[in-house]
Amino acid sequence: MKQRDDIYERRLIWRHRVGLCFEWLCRLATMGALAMLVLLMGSIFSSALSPGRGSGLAPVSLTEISKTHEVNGNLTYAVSKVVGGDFCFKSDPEEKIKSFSSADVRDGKVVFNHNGKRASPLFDLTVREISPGKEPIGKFKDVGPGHIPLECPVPDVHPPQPAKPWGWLTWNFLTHGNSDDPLQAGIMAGFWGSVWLVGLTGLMVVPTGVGAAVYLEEYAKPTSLTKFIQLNIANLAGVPSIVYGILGFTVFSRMFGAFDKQETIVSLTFLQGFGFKPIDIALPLGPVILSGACTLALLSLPVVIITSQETLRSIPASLRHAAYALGATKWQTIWHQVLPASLPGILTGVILSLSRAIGEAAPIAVIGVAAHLSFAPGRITGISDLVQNPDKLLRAPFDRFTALPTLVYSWVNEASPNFEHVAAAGIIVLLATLLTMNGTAIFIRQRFQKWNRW
Amino acid sequence: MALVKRFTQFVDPPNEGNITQVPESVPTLGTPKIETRGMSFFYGTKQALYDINLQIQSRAVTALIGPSGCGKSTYLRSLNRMNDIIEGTRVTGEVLLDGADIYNRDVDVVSLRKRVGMVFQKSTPFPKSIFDNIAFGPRIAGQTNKSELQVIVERSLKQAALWNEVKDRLKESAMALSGGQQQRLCIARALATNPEVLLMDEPASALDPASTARIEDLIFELKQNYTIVIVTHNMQQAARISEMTAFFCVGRLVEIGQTKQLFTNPTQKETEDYITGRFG
Repeated sequence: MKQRDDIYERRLIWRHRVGLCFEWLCRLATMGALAMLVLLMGSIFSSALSPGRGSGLAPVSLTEISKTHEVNGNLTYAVSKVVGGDFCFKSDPEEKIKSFSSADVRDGKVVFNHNGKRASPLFDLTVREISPGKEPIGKFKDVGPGHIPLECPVPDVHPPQPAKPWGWLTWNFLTHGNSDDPLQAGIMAGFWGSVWLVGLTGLMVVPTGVGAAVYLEEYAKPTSLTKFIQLNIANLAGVPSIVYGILGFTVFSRMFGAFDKQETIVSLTFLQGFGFKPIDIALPLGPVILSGACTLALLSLPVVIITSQETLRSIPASLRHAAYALGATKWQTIWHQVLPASLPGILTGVILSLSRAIGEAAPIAVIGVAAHLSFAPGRITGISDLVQNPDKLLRAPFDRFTALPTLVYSWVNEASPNFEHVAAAGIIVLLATLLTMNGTAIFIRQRFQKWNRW
Repeated sequence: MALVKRFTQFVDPPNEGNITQVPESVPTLGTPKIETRGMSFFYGTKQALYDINLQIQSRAVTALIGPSGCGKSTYLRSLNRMNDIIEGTRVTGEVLLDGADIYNRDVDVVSLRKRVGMVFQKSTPFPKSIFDNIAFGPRIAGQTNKSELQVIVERSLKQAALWNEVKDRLKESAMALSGGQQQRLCIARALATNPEVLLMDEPASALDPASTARIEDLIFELKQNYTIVIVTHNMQQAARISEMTAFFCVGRLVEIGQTKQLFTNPTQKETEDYITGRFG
């Protein structure tokens, strides 16, 4: 009897230990996730906030000019620390011979071609930034077969300025369009493109998604067809986003190639009746906001439907019965009681799916969106512009655009080293946009949720 | 004789105050408010009620008692066609409200439910403010005038004896009320649509004795203006508040009679077994 008690006790102890282990494993996993989050944010922020524009680095310093590197009239100069801007070689009486920018620097060298007429230019060389009023940053003395640097690097070309706390995340970055030059590149076009994209996607997804959920949950009889539809919606939620990209490209962007032979222009003249200028829409739509939004709407629709259905199902039947007993029709019950009660859950689904949509680069890239745009959709430049030309709002959905993830993706792929900082700053803008969106939605959800205590 | 003694206790408990004073003038057998003739009810192929013939008197409380699963709740719900919500249910026979069959094809279910209100076992306030809870019924009936709604809300809450407790917090969530208050809110909500009949499905079974007493007081008040049908498992409660009692068993109406009569001198053996606790 005592032995049996012992076994029982030992078993209890082991059960307790296993429980403890599991608890600590869970704790570890949570910590790991937290650490990963911190690492991720840290790396992005450190990159984006690293000293950048005009923070005291000499933009270019030429350190070598040597005849030994001369091949077919090409003189190679070793260059270090090119941050940005355009530079040129000039003869001494300030005649421009050859310009180069940071993009011409390969492996830390810039090639200076003087057409092979001479082994090397027989005059003194000056290297300076093209922008007016900048001091020369390198002078080279003509010594017959080659040049020797006179001052290299010129110290304090730009007097060191105090490092800005926001590094690459400057006001210029937020208010300018994209550019080849990392110092000039901005995110404005992508930001407004994403805002338009998500706004239109939301407008399309919320009514259709919630409507479909209400139909499937409240009205549809459980026939085999409904079951089939249900199954397919669940499957669609797991389809990779690039597949939706191909779909969007074929259906919305290219329109099945129906207009390949001749581009068709549809003119929305009825807008004149509302006091707007008529809008000409070129078919096929191409990579415009509307195609992108339709694609993203298809992408997020299954998630919205499924989460809305789950929420509708979780509303207790007693609530519906109470409404019916007061003489409410089915529609009144759904509209006045069931939908308001399930709003928090539905909003959660919408937030989740729209967050996914705003971060999607693949489908947007597939429908053919370019990164190199420097204007906001509809060429809207500001609020005053919008007040003067309200028809730009209607024009914007049919305008070409670029989106935040597309921009970040293209910057990451750029060869020039400084674009990595630009990309990091872009990611921060993307994250901030996302968090603001989610924060607003969560705030709304909280306001509705406080009534719901079953 | 012991049986009689036991149940006169229920009818006249010694210290329960005014609510026990059932008026001696039991309603006369005039035209009944609700009458079912040969009514049977089916869930799909399963028959739940068999040939129910029952008359419910106007402005009186009729209690339905019986063991669990005997069909009393089904019967109650069929009086305002709440069973229509359940797929595959079917009614045969006649259910007459003021002499008109409510299962007739051209009866509007929605307006029927406005005439026949219902209170459920579990209090089910809507997740909205107290005001919106009461105003929901009138609103969906088309009442949009704010001051009218205010009048209706105040009147209903006063009728349900809840006004003094909530008059300062009409805009607060109804979910924050206590269980007893929630149930009275549900009664007030049902009264707001101005029904003629009030169906109550075990309205006090989830409440503590104090709240139960308040609900019983309330029912006692309400029966002066409304026809009340109440399902209850609590036989003392049935004895205290009702004029007529119907005993259901396995889908059949076993016996109906004046409450005092039924509890003190049941005609059927089954009823006697049930009320003496030998069965059910």
